[in-house]
Amino acid sequence: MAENSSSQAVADEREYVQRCADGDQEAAGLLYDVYVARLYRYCLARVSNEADAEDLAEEIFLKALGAIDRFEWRDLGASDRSPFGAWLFRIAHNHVASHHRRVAVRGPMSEIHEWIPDGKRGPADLAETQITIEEVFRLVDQLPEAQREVIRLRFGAGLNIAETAEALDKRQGNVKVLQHKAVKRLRSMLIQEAATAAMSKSEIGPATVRSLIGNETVDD
Amino acid sequence: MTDQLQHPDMPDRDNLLGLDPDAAEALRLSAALTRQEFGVSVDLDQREDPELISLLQAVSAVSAAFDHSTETEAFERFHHRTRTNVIASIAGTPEPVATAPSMPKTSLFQRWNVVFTATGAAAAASIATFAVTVVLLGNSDPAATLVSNVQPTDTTPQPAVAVIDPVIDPVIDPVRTEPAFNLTSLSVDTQLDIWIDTLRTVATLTADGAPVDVPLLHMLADVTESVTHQIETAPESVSGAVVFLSYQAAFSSGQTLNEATVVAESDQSVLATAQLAADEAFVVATRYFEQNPERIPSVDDVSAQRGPDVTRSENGTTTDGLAP
Repeated sequence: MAENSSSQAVADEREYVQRCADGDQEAAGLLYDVYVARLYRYCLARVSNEADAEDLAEEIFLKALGAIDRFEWRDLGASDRSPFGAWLFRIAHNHVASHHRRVAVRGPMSEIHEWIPDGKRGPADLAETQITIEEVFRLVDQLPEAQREVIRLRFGAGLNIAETAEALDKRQGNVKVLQHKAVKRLRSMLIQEAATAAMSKSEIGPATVRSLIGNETVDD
Repeated sequence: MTDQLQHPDMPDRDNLLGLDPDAAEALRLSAALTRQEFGVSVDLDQREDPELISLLQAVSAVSAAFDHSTETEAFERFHHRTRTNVIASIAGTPEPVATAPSMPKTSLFQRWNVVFTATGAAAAASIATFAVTVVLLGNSDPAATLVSNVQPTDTTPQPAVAVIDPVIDPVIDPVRTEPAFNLTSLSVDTQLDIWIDTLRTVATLTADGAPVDVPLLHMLADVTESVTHQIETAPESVSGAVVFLSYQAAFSSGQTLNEATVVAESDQSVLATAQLAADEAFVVATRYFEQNPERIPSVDDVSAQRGPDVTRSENGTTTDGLAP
């Protein structure tokens, strides 16, 4: 059932892409609705700055729209895999790389990531979430580049293995291995973070920390 | 950690037989995540497979953090605001493609010559030298090293009037700030022509100390972005020689725009946009050659694109063959 709905979503997407290429504004809006959150999350994970992530997400989508008539729908081996998503995030990958190079030349244009209060959730909720997001992004940043990019595309952009492989121009087997290494490393770091935080609050002692971490060590 | 796992060319495997434990774990994790993504719960007991369960929990934590970042009012506002821009960027009902402006069939080389004539004249130099080496792009083959020494053929300063070349006059509406045709409907060669023409006008004005009009800057930014866009999104459709010329144009645009002035303070953002477009074009062209070193153009390629005036110098570099 879920597979069918996923296939249907890709089929819809194919129609939107075609309509976009034909100048259909409604289709452009629908396609944007599908991808904007995923693009934003991917960009945010790469630039750690909300304002820049917003700018980049919009720029990337507009850039893709400008080239959509040159995009060729190419089967990725299954009906639930979107070549458009892979193509879009390949553009995103390159566009953010360009952004980093520009920033490296000109210096950062805005301050490091700072979460803006959000009235949608309660203060306690918000504080907890903010820390979680910041911590996770920080931990992801500590991964080797290839693993980092797989995590951002898989869990930030929501691409599946085939789409991630296409976006990064890697083999699917390689993406699976990178994903596994990254998740293992993140797990170790998350456990250590939690243990350190608990220790700093004197909730547990060093022995408990050791038992929490167990044999987990951060992979090299 | 095994070396085998790190090998970038590891093939896909249909089953776990013969795999080392880490590779098997990688496949099991991938399969479990795929099931989850299809909404199928992973029916595992913590005691049965603690390793896989803990990895899935780590993924949940990471995914939740990513998801939270878009569950805010700020993101919703951003989505709503930019959706309008996205829709507006689509032309609506397809219209007949505007006819490309009639361009004289001069070679790109001649156009380059004119660009640097204006710049050179203003600098009161007898020879304006514009040197770009492909060595910067990582090719150590001397034969592939291109150096353009462009000598102005006419040192008469161009009039400091914000008049756009008649050739592209129909293209720009002085009231609107956008070209009256769809740049992407033009060939990349034609876009490059327009880029160079526009740059020539900007260079002339700047050399004469005159401010540059906003429509002209918009045109420069638009055509720069359009060519860059094509190189980035459809690199296979663009020749190395064209990218090399874009690289030169980007370099020159950056130089020229750094010196350019605008009438009003409020126009600075337009100038900055054009500068950013030039920066981006430079980066994209450089990356194109980093990623496609086999496409670094030979002297003959560039000569064919620019006309027959490129010769090889004694030291292996190549110069545009105009006498001083």
